[in-house]
Amino acid sequence: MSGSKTFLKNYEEEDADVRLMLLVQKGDANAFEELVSRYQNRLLGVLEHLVGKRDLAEDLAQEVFLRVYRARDRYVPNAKFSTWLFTIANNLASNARRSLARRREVHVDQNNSDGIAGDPLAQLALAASGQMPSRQLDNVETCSIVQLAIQGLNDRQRMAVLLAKFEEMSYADIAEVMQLSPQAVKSLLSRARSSLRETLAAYVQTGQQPRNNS
Amino acid sequence: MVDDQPFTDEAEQLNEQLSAYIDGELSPEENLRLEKQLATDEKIRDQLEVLKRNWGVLEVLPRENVSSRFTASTVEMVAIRAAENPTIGEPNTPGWVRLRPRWLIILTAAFLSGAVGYVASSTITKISPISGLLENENTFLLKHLNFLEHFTEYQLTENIEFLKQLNEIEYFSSRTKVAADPGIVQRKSASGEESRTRIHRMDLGERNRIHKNYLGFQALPKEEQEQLLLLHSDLLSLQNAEILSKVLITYSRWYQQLNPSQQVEITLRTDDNKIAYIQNILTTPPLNEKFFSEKDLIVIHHWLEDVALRNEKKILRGVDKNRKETIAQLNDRDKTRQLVILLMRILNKNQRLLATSNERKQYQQMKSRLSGSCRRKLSNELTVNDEIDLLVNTIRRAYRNDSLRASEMNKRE
Repeated sequence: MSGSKTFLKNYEEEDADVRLMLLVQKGDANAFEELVSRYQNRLLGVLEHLVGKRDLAEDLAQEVFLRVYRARDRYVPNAKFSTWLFTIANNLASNARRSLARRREVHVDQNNSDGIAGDPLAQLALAASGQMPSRQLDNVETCSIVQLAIQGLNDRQRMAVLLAKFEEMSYADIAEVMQLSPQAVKSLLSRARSSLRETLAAYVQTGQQPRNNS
Repeated sequence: MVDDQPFTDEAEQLNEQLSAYIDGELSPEENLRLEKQLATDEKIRDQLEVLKRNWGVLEVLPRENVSSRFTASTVEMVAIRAAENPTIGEPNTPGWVRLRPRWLIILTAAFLSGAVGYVASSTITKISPISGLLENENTFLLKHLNFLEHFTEYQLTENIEFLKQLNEIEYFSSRTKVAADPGIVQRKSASGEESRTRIHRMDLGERNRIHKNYLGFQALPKEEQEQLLLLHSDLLSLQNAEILSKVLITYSRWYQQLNPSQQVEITLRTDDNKIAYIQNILTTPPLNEKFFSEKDLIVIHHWLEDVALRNEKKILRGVDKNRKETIAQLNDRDKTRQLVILLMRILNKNQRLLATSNERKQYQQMKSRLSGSCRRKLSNELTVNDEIDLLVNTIRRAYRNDSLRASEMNKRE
């Protein structure tokens, strides 16, 4: 389908969502609603992992769509729509995390007395070492362990993993979203995988493998 | 910011290569080099296996599935905030955004949530900068819902006489006899409460359509608005209103499948002249047919069948459970035909399904098998999307005219 008509990278032709956004630019309400409907699940999934709170993730997702709408007049299709959308999401999530972190500082001392209760990685280590009441982890537990492992990554590693794994983005697209070079994304994902390997090692190597393993 | 710096340690560099290998991001040379290492070094193979397994474990993370209500509330929030606080450099907020808050208010408040809707309405009324108009619009919607549902059909109709003349043309009268009743007559005395309940039961797509119709109606000059409302009430007062309301719908469907120049021709003509032109179209074979030989139609049809079979799961994703079960029980041939019909509907909306490299390759291969005249016709289209639209619409037309004979359809090259 490429052929001579796609001599230049033509996002309008290649990306149906770009075409929808151009309709939004022309004032088409249904096109905007269609974009929201297409991206809400994907966006919310990534944002919830990034900020760790469902209600905050929903607010952020709505804010992302508001920014998309407000930018319609200036919109020029020079990237895939998903890349543009997740760039906005990444910037908003970074700001939200900074603001959350500032608020958390106030409560740090109180949390310290809870020991490992507030530390996901410590919880994970405990689970993996067999000190949890049951070692027969079912799928729900698998899920929570993986969630803890994901939370154990730093913010940039987590974002890169989510985009690579769930959005199946190329390094070039992730680089655009995160304003990095593709080489930097390569290193970031490698370090993220090392970190996941370490935190999941005890769990995976005991033979208690998740049922959904792909 | 050190976690994106290149590795200096050899082991870490290998890990980075393995990670990029899993993601399919190595250059062909790097790929070859790594695969040679993998073939001879068991340790590296194990390392790769562990990385793959850990990556696979992430699949257990739940995927979001938010409700359509989230969509509605998002669009509503955007409409309200965009209208309240437009950004610099946005002097002309489009009409739908200015109206949207009110409309979302009306639709959500009055219909989405029933009684709760009233509360929402009063709340949002306080927010809306144009809340004074809310009551009037709401009343208008409930009073003229029956008309608004068929606004686009009425727009294509000159007057009652035009409908009567259409009904004298065999093409329309024969179809009208078997057409489903659009329910225009039954709903002529619907109360405001009944209209409210009706909208409450509509899905989002249907509500959107009515919203669009309302905006279209509002954009007309007052004189035309009155004319259309009068046409609606005239139709309802006729003895054969039921038949003519079916003609109205049948004609609109027929009109939608004409090419743009034919549509313009019809619009420019008046009365008898228009009827004569319609009859002329009905007796002349469609313009595109001469470009597509029977063999072309079969090649295109077989390509669509193959696309449908390759993408069966994706196609059936948007189909309701009952229909899915019915399709599953069909024999292979009928099932494929149903899948092709669903596929054509999907492709008419968007062509994302054909965006994979394999589908692109298959499309090019199919094109290479088409006749010269057909390829020349396609080369006149501006984009590949237009090409596909043309092909899909040609097959749709062939389905309707039954020109794809059963024997030919089963004869694969």
